[in-house]
Amino acid sequence: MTLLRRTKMEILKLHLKNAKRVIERTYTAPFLAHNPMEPISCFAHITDEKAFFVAPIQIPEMMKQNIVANLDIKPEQLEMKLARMGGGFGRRAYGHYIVEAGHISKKMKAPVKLIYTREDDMTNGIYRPTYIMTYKAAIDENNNVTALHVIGGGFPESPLHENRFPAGAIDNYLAESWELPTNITIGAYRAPRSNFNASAEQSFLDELAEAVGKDPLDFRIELLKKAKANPVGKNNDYDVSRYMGVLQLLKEKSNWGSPATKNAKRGVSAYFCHASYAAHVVDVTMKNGQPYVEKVVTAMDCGFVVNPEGAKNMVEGAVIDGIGNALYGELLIDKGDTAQKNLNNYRIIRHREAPKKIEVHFVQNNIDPTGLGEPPFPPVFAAVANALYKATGKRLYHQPYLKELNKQKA
Amino acid sequence: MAKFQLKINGKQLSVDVDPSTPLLWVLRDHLHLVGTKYGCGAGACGACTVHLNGNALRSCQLPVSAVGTQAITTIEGIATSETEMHPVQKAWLELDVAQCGYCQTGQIMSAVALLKRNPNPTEAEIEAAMTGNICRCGTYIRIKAAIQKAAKSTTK
Repeated sequence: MTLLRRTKMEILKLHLKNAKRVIERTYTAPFLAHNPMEPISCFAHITDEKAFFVAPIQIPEMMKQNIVANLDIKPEQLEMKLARMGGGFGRRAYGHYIVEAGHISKKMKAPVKLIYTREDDMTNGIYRPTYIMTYKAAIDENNNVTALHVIGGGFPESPLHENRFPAGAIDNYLAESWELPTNITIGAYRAPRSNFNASAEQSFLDELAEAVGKDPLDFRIELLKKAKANPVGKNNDYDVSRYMGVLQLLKEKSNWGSPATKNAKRGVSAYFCHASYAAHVVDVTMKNGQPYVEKVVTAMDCGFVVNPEGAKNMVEGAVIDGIGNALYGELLIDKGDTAQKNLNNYRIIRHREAPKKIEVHFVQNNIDPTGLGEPPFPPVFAAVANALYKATGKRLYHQPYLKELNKQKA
Repeated sequence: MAKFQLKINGKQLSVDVDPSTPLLWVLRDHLHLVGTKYGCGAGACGACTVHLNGNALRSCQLPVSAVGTQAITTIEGIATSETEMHPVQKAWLELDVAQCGYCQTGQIMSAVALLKRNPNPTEAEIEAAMTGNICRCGTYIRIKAAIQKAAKSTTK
């Protein structure tokens, strides 16, 4: 008799085949344009002796070689001064506009101030890729999740972080990626990949909790307890205790179980990325068929908080950015061009659409500080979707959620 | 090109520009009043907000030829005196409103115009008056709190 050695995929298939129930859901998100308030700009003056630039850029070190190579100058000729940035969000991680201004100055033999119009920026962007993710879970007769298969893909990269929660918490876990090339220019956008990975994963976990008859917040804590006591696999890249810590703090501070805002329905979500842990409870209401996030309670673990007021402001901004992109964010490509070219039809969240209140609670510890601009952003999307499910009875799988809500209504 | 006499921040200033030039670029490129910002050029973001006779207006949408003798106020002209900021500016600093700061000129100009015509606005009135001003960093909650703080400091 030969010993039968099954692949991970075969074992998974067997579980899915023998499961009492299988839940399969697919999530999508569109391209996004960064639209920092200050359009792209650069001052360049290239002479025989010197290449002088003044520009706002996120990662100047990374650009040095690029500028030197593209403009055919010697490294010691390069002088670059940094200007304050009117927003970045990833848009200013790449210095193509510095090279462009340099070329113009070289050709003109004159100092040049290059300012993109909003249309230039939005039609020649480096967009957040479009992503697709499918989750499939097996549930046995005792309401245990016995297997999980996730396959994530996108144009031109996969959003999946395969060793993140719930990896480690579920037996028979398999994560796969695919990628297809595209000639649409893409780049980093606030919490790259995670900004979609979190929305799909945390929406699916919410639906899974409901399927097994558990409270969504307690369900996540239970999974983490298992990952701590009996971790599945060896490559899990998050700290289980700190992940559980933000959920426990959130549960306490949000008075989970009772809606804090009148007529509101609540949704929860959590995520780990850029070395920090974030969790949100959002309260949504529907007014005249329009969704509004009234209040958000956030728990963060980003290690030691150096500047509490600045940190709080950063989290508030990430939450509002997340709500805006979850509900409205969408850049469509039509016949090789962007359908949206300016802020008249590319929607960014505005005053009256912002929540009335955001409470931010930091886990107090003395761990070295970690990311904060990015980590609170990804989990907002699913918290909004999960709350909207409670408010409307409709699960939302496709971003932007407002469009999806309107589609379901029609 | 044509010559225009403009009343800006209480001073008479003259420029020689194409009559169709938006006020925004006259302010920035010709008068070097660069506190007023370009965001979209379509009247959709509010970054270029100035006052025309005390009312908030998107300067990217107004050709310089349409200004005439009307009084223009920019962010450079709203302080109470040489040494004292406007109450709205003070509230902004006290509540640490800004992140990147780029939209804040326009936000402050809209807020000052609002409080001038409505010294004690409700939350809904603030939202309605400020919804034309986008803040990409998402500082809306602090903007609203700063407007309420400034309203209190001037109406008590």
